Amino acid sequence: MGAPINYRTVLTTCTYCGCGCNFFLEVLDGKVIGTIPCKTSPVNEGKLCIKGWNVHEFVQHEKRLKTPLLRKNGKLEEVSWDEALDFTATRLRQIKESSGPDSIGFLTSAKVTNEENYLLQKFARAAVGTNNIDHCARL
Amino acid sequence: MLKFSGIDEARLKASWVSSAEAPELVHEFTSFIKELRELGPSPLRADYRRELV
Amino acid sequence: MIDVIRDKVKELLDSGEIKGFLGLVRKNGHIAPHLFQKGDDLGAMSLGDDKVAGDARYPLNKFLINLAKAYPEETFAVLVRGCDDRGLQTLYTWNQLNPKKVVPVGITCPQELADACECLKPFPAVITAGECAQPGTPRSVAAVDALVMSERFSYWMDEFVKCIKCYGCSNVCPMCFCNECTLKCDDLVKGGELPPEIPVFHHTRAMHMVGRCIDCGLCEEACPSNIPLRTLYKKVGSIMEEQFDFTTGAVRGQRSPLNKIDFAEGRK
Repeated sequence: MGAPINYRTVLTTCTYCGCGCNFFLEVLDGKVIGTIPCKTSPVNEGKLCIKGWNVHEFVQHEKRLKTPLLRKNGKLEEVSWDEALDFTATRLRQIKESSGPDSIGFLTSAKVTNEENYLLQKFARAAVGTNNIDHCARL
Repeated sequence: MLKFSGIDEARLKASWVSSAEAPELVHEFTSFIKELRELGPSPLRADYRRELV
Repeated sequence: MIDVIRDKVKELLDSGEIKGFLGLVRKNGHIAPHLFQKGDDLGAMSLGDDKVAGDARYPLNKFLINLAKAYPEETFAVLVRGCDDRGLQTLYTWNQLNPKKVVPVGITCPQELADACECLKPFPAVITAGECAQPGTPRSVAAVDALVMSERFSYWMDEFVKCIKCYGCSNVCPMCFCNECTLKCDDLVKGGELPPEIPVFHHTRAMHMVGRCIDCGLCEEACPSNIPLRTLYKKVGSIMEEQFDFTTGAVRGQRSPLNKIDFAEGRK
């Protein structure tokens, strides 16, 4: 009798679009190995689209960004969050002062929550002062 | 399966022809092409999606 | 019925005969595939019936293949219905699972499910719990056979045209285990092209279900467009039965007539 096998099915919600399909991620020894739609979910009733079916492939993909990248001398370099945020805030302020708030635009993502999307539009309208905000779901 | 899907089974033909029997192969081709021409255009050529969109 | 299964699983786990039992559990308000191991609470175990019988079935054999690949030395028990049992028998003949490392825990399907599935054998070979239901009456294939050719053609084309090429039918299929899939071969099915070419896409999959499809119906349940895939594969199965007297997974150790190419002459 060895140690128990670390095999779990984790219920989660698809991050690809706003439908909110539920599925289980099949996790074996800490690695996500499969996706299976949740049959008892009232949203998708055991069905998924091609993107949802392949969610497990991107979760732990080696090409996924783990730290912010900043282009320095034409080359992307890994930097700390503090440095990335400082740079972004400084540049946004500079651009707003030199060219006006409508020279800035924001694009939000379906891969984040409603609340985060709300925050970004609030930031665009209240903090920066522009209505230039859009969402990838409109593409 | 073709029949089950409503496709005329005469549109598919499988023949065994040895590599040494070239005239036989030619005969198979020409006779099958003739048969297909008699059947007319394939129903699969119709664009099913255009009717829906 | 579930108490019998719980006792059986507890006995198997306690005796050390199996490393784990792959079944279903009710958690977070949903029914989920789950690996029960020694000392685990078996109280929340489920048999895959949520609102109606068998509406929360999962391709457990598919998960079992993943587990067996990672832990080839361990023995696992798995919850099986009639269809899953046919699946196991077939997976053994295709060398996807080792019968010595699998302990099936069999349950029967109730009559309502057998009827809805038109299942010809709604119980496994070895039954741990439940009463055998009568085989369902085949209707769906006969209904299409009753149509004249032109009606059949438009019936299927109207169904196939709804396909969004999600590959759900093959992703959920417990019998789809090929490393290289014809449906993902660029020369036959162009990658990234939507919608798929009809009826070629569906006929290609149907051809690959020959001697493989165990009629579990998970493909049809997973189809977002409600294409009657099961009817299509039921027809494939009935052709195999008529032409070769072969029912997939019905007889233990019997290989598909199309899977005998490596057998030497005179050997059976």
